[in-house]
Amino acid sequence: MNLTLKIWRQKGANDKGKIVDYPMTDVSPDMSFLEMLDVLNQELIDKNEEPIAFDHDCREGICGSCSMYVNGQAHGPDSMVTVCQLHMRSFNDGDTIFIEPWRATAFPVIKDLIVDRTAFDRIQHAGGFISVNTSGNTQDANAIPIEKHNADMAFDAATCIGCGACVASCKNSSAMLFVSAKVSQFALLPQGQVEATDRVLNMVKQMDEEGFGNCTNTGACEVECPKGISLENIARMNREYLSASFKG
Amino acid sequence: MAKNKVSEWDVVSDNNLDIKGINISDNMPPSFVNDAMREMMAQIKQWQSGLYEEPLTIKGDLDIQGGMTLDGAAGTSGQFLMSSGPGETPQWGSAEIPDAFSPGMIILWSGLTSTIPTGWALCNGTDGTPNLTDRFIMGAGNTYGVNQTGEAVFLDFASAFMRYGKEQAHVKGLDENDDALVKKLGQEIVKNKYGNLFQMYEKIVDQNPYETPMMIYPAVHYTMGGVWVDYNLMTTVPGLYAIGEANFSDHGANRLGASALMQGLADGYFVLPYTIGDYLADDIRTGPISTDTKEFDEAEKNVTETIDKLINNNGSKSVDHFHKRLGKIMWNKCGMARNEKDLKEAIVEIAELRAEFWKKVRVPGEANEYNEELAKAGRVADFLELGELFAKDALVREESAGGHFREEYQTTEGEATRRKEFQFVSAWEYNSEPKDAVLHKEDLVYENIEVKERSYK
Repeated sequence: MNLTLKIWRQKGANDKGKIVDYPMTDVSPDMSFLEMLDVLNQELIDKNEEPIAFDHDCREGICGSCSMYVNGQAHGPDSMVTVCQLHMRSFNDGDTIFIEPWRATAFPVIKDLIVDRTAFDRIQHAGGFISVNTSGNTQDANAIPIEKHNADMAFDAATCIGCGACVASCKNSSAMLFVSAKVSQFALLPQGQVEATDRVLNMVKQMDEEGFGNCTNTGACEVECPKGISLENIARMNREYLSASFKG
Repeated sequence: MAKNKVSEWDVVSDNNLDIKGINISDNMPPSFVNDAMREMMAQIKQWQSGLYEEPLTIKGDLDIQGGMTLDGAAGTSGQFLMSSGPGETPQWGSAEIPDAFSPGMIILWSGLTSTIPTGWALCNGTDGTPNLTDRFIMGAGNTYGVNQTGEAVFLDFASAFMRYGKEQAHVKGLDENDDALVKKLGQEIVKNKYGNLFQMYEKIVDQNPYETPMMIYPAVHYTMGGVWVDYNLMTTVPGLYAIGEANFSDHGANRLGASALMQGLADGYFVLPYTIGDYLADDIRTGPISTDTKEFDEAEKNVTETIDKLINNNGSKSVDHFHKRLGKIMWNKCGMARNEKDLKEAIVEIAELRAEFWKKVRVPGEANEYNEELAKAGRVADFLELGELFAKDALVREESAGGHFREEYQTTEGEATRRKEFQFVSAWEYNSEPKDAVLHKEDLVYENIEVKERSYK
């Protein structure tokens, strides 16, 4: 099929960007969206033009680096997928497709479609961990019985890949879904209790410092999340935060 | 016209005027009728005895109540007449004919199971038959491969669904004979185990793997080796440690997919916190190390020169172009199955490709900006050296080991042949060109386990 791509080009963080048109011919419906961009980039290199910079790594939906809107939707029209899992069969011959990087103050553009998501790393550093002594007598994790229901909920929260689609889909650019998933995966398990108070306070503090907005319970984040992270996590984080505020 | 034999008699009686020269038309003397009767009887006898060669057409039923011979030969029990071709004398079917339906043959049957002829069994896994329930038999082409590449194979969960489902139905006290229910229960179990993989497959192939078998191909995706390290995970460079999949320490010729995490966790959590501390203990009072040294300048100069060369090369072919060509050589000649001839060719081809890369590669953009093509060019340059070393290492290893099958070394059954004299780790010393790399053999000594071939039967 033949497509018209309208892609955001921006040379560097401090340069002014603009939408540039790229016609694409003979696109196979079996290609993934990123493979389609690979083909375009080869054509650009062959024409001695600069290829489009986009972030990618695993190409199997777990690295969360493909930080782009496709036709205004985070990761494009298909649900529960990242851009590498979006296939061209989701589009029709003759379509015009807009491709833009995440828009959020806390995610500045590095180049073209690549944004700096290290704000998420700093939030993780603020509390997304547990302290375990690995001095050779570490307790077997299975020695602590955990209710199946809690284990499942913790696992579901832990499937968050930190892609930033929640921030990109939120009208306030809020990172609450991400942060709450990271808080929840520990809050639901006994191993996470030791540092529970500090964790939620520190992570929320870091989130605010990074310039993410607040949650107004719209729920767009849950709809666009490629891993189906539930809004319930935000409620859990708010409870954790409230009780930690009294303790701390 | 004279009727000389029965077959010439006419069905219109008025045309039968002459029996072998005897005129029996109207008004002939009675003696002619007598003679004609005698001649007719003789002709009928001749026809009945079959003494003349004429085709015989029977439009009514043929009721044979006695035995039947063919050219005087009586058929034996179980034999039947078979044609040996147009115009040829038929023969009694010999023992070759029953072979056409010998035990082990599988045919398609359309109809009720109750009307299957006696002597035939359903292929349902009982009575020594294979279980072909919900399967279709495929013909063998040049390969057994499926999909457009002709190289994939089917991975079918159909029987696993039923097996898991039956267990679940049993555990939950539900009807184990309700196939639809059993399948649904089994699919739920598989979904809990591999749901994410099934979803990935569906997104890529656009087929539902719960309903159609998956098309899979065993891909080469790791080096299964890495940088040489000592027992403390330190490389040959003092103070430089390599952990996880980057080192060679845990995996040999075999490693299972997704086991990378184990080595990363073990090395990072449990080994390095002790060993690197031991090394740093001696340097506790060393203080900051200056970059104002001959070695640092030299290293910086090397890196800058390489980057400048790539950026200013102004060639005609992209980095991906070379990466794909290298991949094809590795895939075809240094893959899971390899042989001496292919490996020797691969070594030459990769060396030529590497020379072409440095002459013709085009890296767009600038050196001091976010430049993915430049980063990729550096990696592909490394792959072009490592690829040749792989082929060289594979050529030296004259045995089949795990995931690496050297075609010359296999048993009569096609299983891998391991050789005692190759029970060593190959550590290659870098010497700028892969062809000059020096092999250091590191013996593998097993004290607590017995070395034996793994059977996949």
